[in-house]
This record gives sequence, C-alpha cells and structure tokens, in this order.
Amino acid sequence: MLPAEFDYAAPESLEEALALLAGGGNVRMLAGGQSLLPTLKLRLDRPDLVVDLRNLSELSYVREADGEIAIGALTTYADLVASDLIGAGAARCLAEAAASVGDLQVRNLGTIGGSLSHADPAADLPAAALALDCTLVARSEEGDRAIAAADFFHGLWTTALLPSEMLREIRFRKASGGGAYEKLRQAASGFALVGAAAVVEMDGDTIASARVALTGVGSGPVRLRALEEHLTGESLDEDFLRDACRRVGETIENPMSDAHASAEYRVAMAGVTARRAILRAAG
Amino acid sequence: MTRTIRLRVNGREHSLEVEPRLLLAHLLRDDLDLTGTHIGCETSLCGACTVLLDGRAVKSCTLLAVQAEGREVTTIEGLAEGAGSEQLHPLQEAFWNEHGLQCGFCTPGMIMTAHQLLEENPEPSEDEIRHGLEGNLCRCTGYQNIVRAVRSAAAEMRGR
Amino acid sequence: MMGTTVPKQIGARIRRKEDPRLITGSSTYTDDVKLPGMLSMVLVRSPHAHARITEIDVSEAEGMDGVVAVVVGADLEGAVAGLPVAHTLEELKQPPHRALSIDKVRYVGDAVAAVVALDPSRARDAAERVHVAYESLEAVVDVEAATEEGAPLVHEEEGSNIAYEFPFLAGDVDEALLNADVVLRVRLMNQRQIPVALEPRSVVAQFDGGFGKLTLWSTTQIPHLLRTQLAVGLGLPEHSIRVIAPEVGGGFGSKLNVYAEEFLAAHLARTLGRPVKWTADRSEGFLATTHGRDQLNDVEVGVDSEGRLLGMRVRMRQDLGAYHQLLTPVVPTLTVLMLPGCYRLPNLEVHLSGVFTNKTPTDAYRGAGRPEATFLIERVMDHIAAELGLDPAEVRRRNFIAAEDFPATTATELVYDSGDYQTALDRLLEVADYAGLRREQEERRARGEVMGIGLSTYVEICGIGPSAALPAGGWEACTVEVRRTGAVVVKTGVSPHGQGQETTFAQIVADRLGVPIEAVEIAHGDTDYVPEGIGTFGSRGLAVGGTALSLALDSIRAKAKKFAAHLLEAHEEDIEYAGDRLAIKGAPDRFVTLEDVIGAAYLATDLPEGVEPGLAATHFFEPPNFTFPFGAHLCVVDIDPETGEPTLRRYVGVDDCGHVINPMIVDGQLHGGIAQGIAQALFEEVVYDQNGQLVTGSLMDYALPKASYLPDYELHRMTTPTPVNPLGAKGVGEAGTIGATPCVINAIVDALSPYGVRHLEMPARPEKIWRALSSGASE
Repeated sequence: MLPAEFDYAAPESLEEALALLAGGGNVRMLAGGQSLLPTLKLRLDRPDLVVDLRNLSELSYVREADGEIAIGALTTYADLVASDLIGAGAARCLAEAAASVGDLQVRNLGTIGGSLSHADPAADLPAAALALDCTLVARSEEGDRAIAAADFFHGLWTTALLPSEMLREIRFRKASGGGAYEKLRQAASGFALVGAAAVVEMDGDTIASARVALTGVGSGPVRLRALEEHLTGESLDEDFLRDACRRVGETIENPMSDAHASAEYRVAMAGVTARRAILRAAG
Repeated sequence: MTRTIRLRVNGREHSLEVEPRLLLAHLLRDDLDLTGTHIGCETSLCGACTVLLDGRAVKSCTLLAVQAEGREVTTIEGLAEGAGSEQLHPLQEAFWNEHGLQCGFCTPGMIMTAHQLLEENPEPSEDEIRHGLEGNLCRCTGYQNIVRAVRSAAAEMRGR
Repeated sequence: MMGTTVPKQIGARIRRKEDPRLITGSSTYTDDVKLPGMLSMVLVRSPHAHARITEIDVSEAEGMDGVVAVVVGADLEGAVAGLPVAHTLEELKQPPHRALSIDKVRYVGDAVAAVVALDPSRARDAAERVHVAYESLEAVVDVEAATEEGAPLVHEEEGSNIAYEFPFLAGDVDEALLNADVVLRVRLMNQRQIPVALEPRSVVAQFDGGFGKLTLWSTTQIPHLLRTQLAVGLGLPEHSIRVIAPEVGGGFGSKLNVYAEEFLAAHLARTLGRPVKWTADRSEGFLATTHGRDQLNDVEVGVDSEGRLLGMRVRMRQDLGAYHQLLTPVVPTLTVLMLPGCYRLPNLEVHLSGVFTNKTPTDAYRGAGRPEATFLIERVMDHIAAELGLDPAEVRRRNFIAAEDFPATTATELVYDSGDYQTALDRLLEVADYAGLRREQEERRARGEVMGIGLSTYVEICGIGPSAALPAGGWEACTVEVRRTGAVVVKTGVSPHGQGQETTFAQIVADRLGVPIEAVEIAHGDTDYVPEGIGTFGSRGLAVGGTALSLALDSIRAKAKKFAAHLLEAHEEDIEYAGDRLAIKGAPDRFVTLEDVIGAAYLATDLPEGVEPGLAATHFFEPPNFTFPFGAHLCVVDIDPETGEPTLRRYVGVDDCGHVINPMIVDGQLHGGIAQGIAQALFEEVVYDQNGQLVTGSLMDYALPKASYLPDYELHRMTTPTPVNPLGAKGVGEAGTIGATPCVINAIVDALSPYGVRHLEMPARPEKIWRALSSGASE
C-alpha cells in the first residue's frame, strides 16, 4: 500500500523542527516511523506535512548526570536494550520492555520518544515510564516543559503534549532496587495483551518500596498505587504477593476487550503479570 | 513535489529524484531494479522487505526512501562477497545446504535479518535464533531448517 | 564393473537446483515483471458486506492526473464472462460471479470498479475518488443463521442461501446407533483460515494486437487451467493465450483458482493496448483471496462397549462465502469421502449443506477438506477414549483397518491403495517413548503441573487424481527431450511453487538416463513452452506429474535401446542399461554410451529400420486411483496454569508417503505442513463481526506463527509403496497439516482432562485454556 501525498521536511535542528510544528496544519513528526509508516500506508492518517527528525542525532543518547538517567527522545529500542546504564537495577524494566517490542527490525528504528508520544494503549514502554516515575521533557518554541509520566498519558493515543510540542528527553532518578517487565503477547502483532513493569527496592526480606504499572488493560498505562502501598513494608512472601496482586486488574476502568482477549482475561492476567514482574524485580 | 536524494546501495552511489511518499522498498524494486527485496505486507510484520541500513536490519516497506538519504543500503543482491561474484555469503550457502527455503519469497529478508543477528551474536542458541527471526514470517518451512541454516552459517562464519 | 559409477540420485538428500536464484534475489516473481508502457490497476472494493449499489460516479477519478481508464461492471457486459466454478455435483445453484459487481455487493472486498493509471500511487489516489453510493442491507455471516427462515439472501434470485445439498449414506446408521453401547454427540467447528501465501497475488497482462496474442503472468498454481478459463472468459482462442507462472511464492490452495483480477487485467490490457499490472496488498489479499475451512459439524457416533465404531452420522454445514470460486463447493465433498479415516466404519450417513454467507469465498486451503475430516474422526477417537476410560492409542488400535486388508474399500467407496496404520502408531509410541511420557505426566500432575499428550493417526487422499473425480481432468503431461548436446529438458505440466520438483524430477531423470543432475533442466509454468498440464495441488506433483515423467523416460529408454541394438548389431531385447551405458546382456564390455545414442539419433545417417530421428517423448498419465499416504503424530504440550499459555514441547511424527525421491524435501514438506496444522490448532482464526466486517483484516490481527512459536519436529519415516503408480510415491504436500491439527488439540484436551474438559474450540488460545482451567478448578 502506498501513502497519500504529503509535504516533507527534514530539519537540521530542533528549533527548525519546532518552527515547522508551530506552523499549524496536520503535521506529523517522523522519528523511527514504525507506527507512523503503517498508518500512512493504510491511509488511516493523511498529514499535510511530515517532519522527519532523522538529522537530529543529538536527541539520541543515554547518559547519567546528577543521579539521573537521561534518554534522548530519538534513542531507539535497540539502543535502550544495548545500554549498560539501563540494563541493570531499577532501569532494567525499561530495557526489558524495549527488548519485548515488536522484532529486531522494528527495534532498530523505533524510538522511545515515538512510542511514548504515540501512546498506543498496548505499547510496552509507557508502563516502564510510569514504574520509573519518569519525567518527560516536552519542547516547543516556548522552551522546555517537564511533565511527570503520571500526568502524561491521557488514554487512547492521547497525551499531555500540545500540538506545538514534541518530546525531547525522558529522565528518571537512579534508584536502588531492581526492575522487571512481564508481558503476555498478542500473538499476531506482538503488542502487549497485558504488560506489567515493576520497580522494587528491598530491605532484607521486606519490601522497602514498589512501583508497579500496567499496559494493555485499560485505555492507557496505569500505576497501581494501592497495590504499591499495600506491599510497602511487607515481607516478600509468595502467598501474600499472590493475594495482593490477585485483584489489581479490577481497579482498572473500562478494561479493553477485543478479538484477542476479553476484558475478564486481561483483568485476571494483570494480577499474574504484576506479581511475576514484582518477584523478578525484587530479585 | 519531489526531492533529490543520494544514497549508496550495495556499494554504488545513486542520486535519485523521488516523491517523499515513496517507500524505500519501492525505490529499490522499481527505480533500481533490485527485485530481490520482496513486499509481503503493509503492516511491518512479514519482514520480506528486510534490508540492511548502515548494517542494521530494517523493513524497507516501513521506511520512506528519503529517510535513507546519505546512508548505505545492502540488499540480498549485494550480500555475496564482492557483489556480482559467484561466491555466496555463508548464510546463502547455509540456507541452500539446509533446505532453509521452499518458495523463496521470504528468504532474502530472512537472510538479511539473520545477518545482523550473527553480527551481534556469533554463537546464538536455537532460542535466540527463533526470537531473533520474529520479524520475518515464513509460511513454507515451519522454520526448523531456517534455524538450522542460521546455526550452520554461524559455525561457518566463526571458523573463518 | 558395469557402466560408470554415477551415484544413485533417487533417495539422496540433494540440495535444490532451484535455490541459487532464490537465495541471491535473482529470481523473477510476477510483481518483478516490468514491461515498457506498463500501467497499474487498482480495484475499488466494497466496504459493506451486503449492500445494493445505487450509483457509481467515476467522473472525478477519470479526470485525475495519470489516470488512463476507469471501468465498472456494466462496462464489462458482453466482453468479460463471469468467474468459473468447476464441480461434479448433481445440483448446484450457480449465481453469477462477475469480475466487477453490478447490482449488489455481497462481501467486504467485493470489487465494483477498476482504475488504471500510470503508476500504483496514482491508481490508488484515483480509486479513492470513485464515488459509490450503497444502500446497506442486513448481512448474514453465520452459517446456521443463513439457513433459517427469513434470513437475508445473499443471492435473492436463488430464493435460498443453500447452494446445494449433498447427502451420503452407507449401511444403516439408525440401526447401528440403536445397537450401540454408547452414543456420543459432539459439535466440531473447523474455523475459517486465511492461507497467506507469503507472496501476495499479482497479475501482469500484455496483449499483442498484431498477433492477437494475450500473455498473462500470474501467481497461479494452474497455468493451463487458467489459460482455458481466460479463453472462455474473454472469448479468445485458447491457443492465442500464453500463461506464465514465473516464480510463485507459495500457494497452499489460494492460487488454485481463477480470479477476477486475472480477467480484468487481461481485458484492460487488450482494450487499452498497453500492459497492465495488478498486485494485491496484504490486507486486500485478506479480503479478496479465497479463505479456507469454515465447516461446522454435528456428529453422532455409536460404539460398542470396547470402543469399536459401529456407525456415525454427520450433519455438515460448509460456509461457502458469498460466491463460488473455482472449487468452492467441491472442497467439503472431500471431507465426506475421508470421514472414515484409518478406521473400519461400516455405517456412515452424512448430510452436507453448502451455504452462502456475506463473507469472502472459501476454497482449497492446504489439505482442502481432508484436514476437516481427519480433525473430526481424530477428535471422535479421543472422545471415545475419554468416555470409555481407554487409552487413545488403544481405541485407535481397536478400530484400524488391518494391514492385511489392503487394498481396502471404505464406506465412502474409496479404495485405499496400501497402508499399515498399526505399525505406524506402534513405531510412534516407541520412538516418542509414550509409556515414559505417560509416567512423566502422572508425576507432573501430582505436582500440580498441566501437561498433555496428543495423538493423531491420519490417512489422506492424494495424488489427485483420476479424471473422473475432477471436473477439469486429473491427468498430467510431460515431455522429455534429450537434446543433441546431451542436455535433458523436461517439460512438466505440474507447476511447483516451493515443492522442489526441479530437483526431484531431475533426480529421477539422472538415475533413469544415467546423466548428471546438472545436465537436466526441468521447465514448468509457461503454457507456450509446456503445452499441456493440470497443475500443482492435492499432493499430486510427484505421484501424477512424476509418473508422466517416468512414462516419458520409459519411451526414451526404449528408443535408446533400439539405437544401441542397431549400433551394436544386437537384438533390442538383449540390451540393458548400466548407468549411462547401454550394453549387451552378459557382455558388459560391448556397449555404447548415451552420448553415442544421441549422436546416432540426431545425425540420422544410419537409422534403425522404422525408427525416427531424435530422442524425445511426450506422455500423459491418467492415474487409476488416488494414493493414500498415512502416518501417526504425537505431541507434548505444557500449559502455564496461571495464564493458559500452551508450549509445544515436542512434536514427533511417523509418516509414510511411499517411495521417497529426496528425503530432505519430504522432511521440508512435512515441517511446513505441521507448522500450518499447529497454526490452525493454536493461532489462526478469521473473525467477522455481525455486520460482516473482517476483524482480523491484517497480519496485526491474524496470527501467523513466528519462529519462536513453533517447536522442532522429530520425524521418522515408513515406506509402504503404492501400486497406483510405477514410482510407488504417494505425495506429501498436505500430510503434515492434516495430522497436526487434531494432534495438538488432542494434547491440549488431554492436558485439561483432569479439569473435566472434553473439548476446546480452535484456536486454543491462552484465554480459552485459562477459562477451561478456571471453570474446571472451581467445579
């Protein structure tokens, strides 16, 4: 299939890209293109202008500074998987989520900024972004705006980004403890039927803190704050954990139901994947 | 509105005038007559169109030709050592030896993905191969002989 | 030593002759064909499952940049005939199936207009500007609902959605069920699938006005049958049509057809005077390439207290989709024929109804009707075992047709050529260590793990087939030309598209004529070069096409002997073959080589009396019967009790397809077949919503198995030759698919049996398994 016609620009700088974005009309940012291209080809989306970000290589990085890990929006899944900075510790949930995206070819092109901005309800990275309590830095001609991951996702394919903004950086505080991502795949697309990201810090046998987020179940990723509170200070006992997680899916509003899985199954699997992620994160 | 782009394909420099909406797969097949790159879907799942972009496997139907500006593309036609020579790449040889293909439609893409797989992991396990090839569908072989071919190519390439 | 020592080629694992072009990207598939002045065709398809067309306005599209022509159904009247259906049914409703619909659309994807433009992008842009006004009608998507009083009619003029009834009766089923100790009733749905050959369909048509000659490249399994249908459909002399099936990227039955796009491209190339190409998108292919299966069966089966089959009654409903394609109504009749499977079944009653619905037409998909039969009888076997508390292997043993009973006539009047089902099952149980697996299962179950072992034994009808059974002829043709250079050119009427006959046929030639395999070229897929043939489907390539080759080689050898006798001044009957030599019996040092014979045949200065120059022969082979390969499969499945996810841990097969030419290729056919059978059991399912919209309309939603979803296959072989053809070969293209689906479902049901589960609908997705586990656990 072939896309409808569109205008195209490949700006040399972020400023230039933002100016094009501010110009109005139906403008699409092309990062890795792994979600955008299929929608263009199926003509489900007909932008007037496609702004190709391929020249903005300065937005591709993973680095550590001031106790924070900062990831450029154009960092690919493959780069995330390969990065030592996020391969261990709490950040590992992000690396595992990235490794579970699509396939090798998709991971070579798809980017973290693209995934988070696209906000597909079954995408993997949003759950990890929530579990890591990421700060998402949006940029417009007005400058930077920091948005907490918890405030970023607004449901199906919608985010807090303004039409004039694009994601520039994703960062999170380097925390002690471990991270993990667990996923049941939709067999055809590889997207998450249910995915759970967990970041857990242990104090001996006791859970010092836990952050858990789900994707695939509701219209967007969700933090399981009630569960987190319930776990904190408790000892990591399998039966306790099983019991604590059993009903977490039921807290999610309007769980998705489609040809691949019913809401009931997704809700039940939310508990299973959450528990498995927590167990591995607690390591 | 067209744009002029320059890119290298299989070691040769090209300058082409293209519509922005042109997909890399179509540029290769229609403008450069490199029809070894096949198109099997439009949802970026079948992997028949896989080529190497600066050495990394990508699906050329999920990439605009303009995105390849200034970059190096390798297709199945350019894989054999010294393109145009009789010498097959060990992966090609292994697919032949192990009966890793039947209708052959998925084969070029499959080989290109396996190429990156072995670059990054010269001694992959069966499981790593199977997961590594998730972006390439084959309807004929049931994958077993493809997995064998990749393992055998890996052994051959390690031995060199 | 006699003759030269050419290693025997038949039976050897020889790597394929076709591969060098495929692994280097230098082969030519239909979409690779590029002709000067070539135009692109894009079709406008219905977004409605059922609607009246009230208006089509093509004016805007016609005026667009680069657009050459836009045609609608009315423009084709008198120029392009409807699409053909081939059948031998006594009564069949045959509503018109136009290349472009005129009055109504009957499924999502039904074509209403064709746009031809300078390139595909512009053709697609213009197709979006063809304005079609529809008056939406209620759609009928369920095969049972379609037969109810007052159901919407897919073809109103026919008065009913039932296209045909096919009753069958052998023996007395009422009596048998009355006398049975146990009568079981099961409902089995064989869900709809999409074949998904990896190469999308494509057509290129070129018309030479001077010669009045049409050349059509197509992704087809049947170039010769397509040639004839093009002649009928377009009113052209058949000998003025050349069909080329270049490299074809898989078919699995979906390219065993005559499609609207083939007629349209040919017609437009002829009227526009320029070549026309059409290539399907994958999502377009999902709508407009035939689907497979979609058969609902209600089974009543009676057995005695020992589990022996007494009689079976099957109410069979086949969802045909909206129209007949080439073999749509014929496919389920193969199910009827094969219902007895490997077993003695004295009484059988079947009532098959073929039913129109507002969905894509169904037709052959790998196995074509036989997987449905095998799934049915193999599920029945496991139901009997469960009901009587017997081991599934034991139930099968009690019902097998015995090895000494071959040739065996079934209740459906088929004559099974040869077989030994018990030995196949015994070997399987031994190589898989069935007893050990059952012990392991017991241990695991005690630990709360969920493990299942599945069995299936299958027999399938292959080598299709005697012409009486096929509406378009079941023979095959072959020409062998021993050229003056020593090259041997074989022109076969089969049309391989992955099956490897360029290699297996060359192996046969090499052995029979004593030439190196490199000297043999197997030509196929071009009706001008290979004038007659039927095609590749129904596991017939080797069993029927190979036999035609073998007969032609017999003639070549006989003629070569005449030359040899003449050159050696001996009697023809005293000449024997030894490698590439023809020697006098008992005097091996008195010989000529094939090269000498070729020289004599083409120089023709000293011909034996009554012998023509040259060394070539053409033969047609009409098979006297089908062939019946068989086998036994076992798989082991582990289920995650929390998520219901199944993992196929082992897959073991013992298969018997008669004599094998190239074991590597046979294994490959089995691998691919098993993968597709597993896919039906676990992953693939076409879903339509109640309005007839295809929910699983792309590879994002229709789950083809990936490499990581499938196990390694452990294959073992038996060889029971068939007497039906001189090669003793039965065919193997569909065997794996037929055996695998029930094997996997039987394993899953076995795993779930402690939870009170007797059946699970396909595909056995994790959620279904999880539900079965949860409901069983709460009981």
